[in-house]
Amino acid sequence: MITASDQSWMIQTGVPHIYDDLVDVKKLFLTRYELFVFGLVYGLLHNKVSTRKFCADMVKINTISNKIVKDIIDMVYMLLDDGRDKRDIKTQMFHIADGGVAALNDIYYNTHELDIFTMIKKAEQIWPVRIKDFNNV
Amino acid sequence: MHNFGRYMGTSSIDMNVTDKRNIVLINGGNDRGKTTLLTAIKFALFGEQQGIKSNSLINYQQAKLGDGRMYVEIAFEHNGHEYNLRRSVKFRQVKIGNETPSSEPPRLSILEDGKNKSLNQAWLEHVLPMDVSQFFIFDGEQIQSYIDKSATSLKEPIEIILGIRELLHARKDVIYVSEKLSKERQIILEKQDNKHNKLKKFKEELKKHEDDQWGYISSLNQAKRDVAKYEGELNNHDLLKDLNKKIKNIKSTIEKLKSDERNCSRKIAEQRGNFGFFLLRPLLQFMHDGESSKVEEWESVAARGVLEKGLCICGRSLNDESVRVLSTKMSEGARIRHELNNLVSRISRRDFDVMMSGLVDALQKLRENHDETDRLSAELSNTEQKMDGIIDNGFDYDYTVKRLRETRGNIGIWEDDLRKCEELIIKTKQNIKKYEGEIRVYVDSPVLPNIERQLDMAERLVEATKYVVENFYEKRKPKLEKMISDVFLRLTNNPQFYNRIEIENDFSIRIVRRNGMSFPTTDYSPSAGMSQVIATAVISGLSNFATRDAPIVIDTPLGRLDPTHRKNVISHYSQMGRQVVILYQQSEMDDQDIQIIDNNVASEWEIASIPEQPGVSTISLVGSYL
Repeated sequence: MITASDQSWMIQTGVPHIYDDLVDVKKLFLTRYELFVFGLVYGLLHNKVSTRKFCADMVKINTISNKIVKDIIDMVYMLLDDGRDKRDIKTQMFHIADGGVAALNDIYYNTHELDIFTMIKKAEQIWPVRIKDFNNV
Repeated sequence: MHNFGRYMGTSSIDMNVTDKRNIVLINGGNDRGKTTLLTAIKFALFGEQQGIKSNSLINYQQAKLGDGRMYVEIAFEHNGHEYNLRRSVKFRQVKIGNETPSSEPPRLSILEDGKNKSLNQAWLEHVLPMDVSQFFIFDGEQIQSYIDKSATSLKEPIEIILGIRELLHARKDVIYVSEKLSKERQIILEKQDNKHNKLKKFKEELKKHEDDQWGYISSLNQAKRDVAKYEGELNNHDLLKDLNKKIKNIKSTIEKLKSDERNCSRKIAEQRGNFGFFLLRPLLQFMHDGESSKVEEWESVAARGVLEKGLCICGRSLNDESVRVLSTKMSEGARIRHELNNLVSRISRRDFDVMMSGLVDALQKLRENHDETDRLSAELSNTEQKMDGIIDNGFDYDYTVKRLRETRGNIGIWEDDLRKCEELIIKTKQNIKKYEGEIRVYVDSPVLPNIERQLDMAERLVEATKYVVENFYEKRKPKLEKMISDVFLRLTNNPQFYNRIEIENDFSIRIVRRNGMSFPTTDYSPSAGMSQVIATAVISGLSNFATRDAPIVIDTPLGRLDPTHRKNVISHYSQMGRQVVILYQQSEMDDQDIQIIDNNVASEWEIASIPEQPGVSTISLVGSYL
């Protein structure tokens, strides 16, 4: 089976300025796709979906060397895969990632940190509820 | 006389007189030996003092014969004693070609009443002072010179004759004592002045030393302050160095911490790459633990029921297409769920705890790093504040070290100088104390008051003797003048023309005419005869007035006088002294002249040369009338 991470899809974003700031300036992440995947999971968890138009390319998914990043992309893709066209799922996935990244950016600018431990605790409470929204689970 | 002048061998004259017959006449022609006889008396009395050369008086004929002795001996009476005075000279034989025999210095011997009493020339001088003798023993041919003598040369003899010489001596002695006391007083005062001056000098020195001391102390204090300042500056400099070093270390540590922080941040950033996984993990855990399988199981059972019955869960029957699609979907869904389960299983196997632990460690280290950085930053700030308080703009380390070294060197020198100065102060104070003590001794000492008292007394005595001398002189001088004037008026053939002879205070002699006009005898000389008359009067007056009772010996007394004056003078001879010896030649006094004093003549003598020896004279008695 061909996974999402096997696709030569170009990751796109509508919030490139946040990537510029948090990755290039603040250097909170080593790569943009790490922020992308974090935003993707956070957006999925908290149902954050951006409506911004994509305006910047990031990297082709199949060129990402980080295995876990690729696994997470694949997993989210599968969670979202309800039989629709794959491109729609991909597009939804990029909007969710932008929504998550924007939310993380807000958190950072409000708290000056990204408190993963608090986030995990909340996730433990939210996921059991949230999981019901996914077709394939 | 023995071998004296023209007199070879021994010749003697008896000059005994009485009060009435007091004249001894000795007659001799020219160049026979009258003046030699006068010289013999002078030689006996005064030796070679009057310019007489004894070796020229040695009898030449005798000296030619061999070594010998020349002497003159006088027997005389004085103050009730009989004296024998002899002055003798030993001579050597005259060598061929030498006209003057060589001799030893004259020797004087005086016997008193036949006994040697060690009497000497000084005693003889006392009996008849040499200056005075010129008025007793004189050459008539030179008598005029007596009134031509300067006042100075007459002064002393006249003083002696007036009897004020002793007073003058006494006055001189008192003046000497006064001068000596004055000198002693002066010496003491000079010593006192000297000590006062020295004391003043020491006080000035003390002030100078004290000023110097103050200067050294001030300089030392200033130098010590400077040293403290330089040391403080250097300490500050060292402190600054330490602080700089500390700041450097802190900054270095902070840099290192920042570097660590960067590494740490990088590690955290790396861990943030896992944040997606961390956030997804509860879901994975949930799915892995089988919660989803129940759903899956329920949905699968429901779907299978729908397919088996051909009825939807709402009860409506499904067409074939719906059954085909549902079957496909069920098959596709099963495949996805299967893949998802595989993926979850794979992802779940990742070591979450290790990754989380790495994150926690990195965060912990970052926090500690931050804390340490904050602490060090605070310390850096404090240190920099300290430095701000210390920094001295323009501080020059080398200059300060040089100045410190120089100032320490100066302190050493000044301390040494101060020590010396203090030693000098002690020494000077000791000197001041010493001189103050000595001055106090002087002030308290009776020496100076005694000297001043004695000096005052001596000065009074000087004044008193001056008064006495002047008084004595003023009282006696008129008598002397009267004596001289009386003689003069008796001797002169023109007594109505002259009034008197005066002796001025400077001892010059003046002749006063009847008309009141007076002239110094040195200027006023109407004739040689008149001058001789004046001189004879002065000599006669002086010898009569003299306190000494000495014989008058006159050589060639009348040569320049006219008959009238000669008669007057001859008449006066018997009154000139107690013993008068007249050495004359025939042309001066003829028989008529001698007749005048015939009753006063004690003896007559005649000097004659020996025919076969023209250079030798003999003296023989013509007649004795005592």
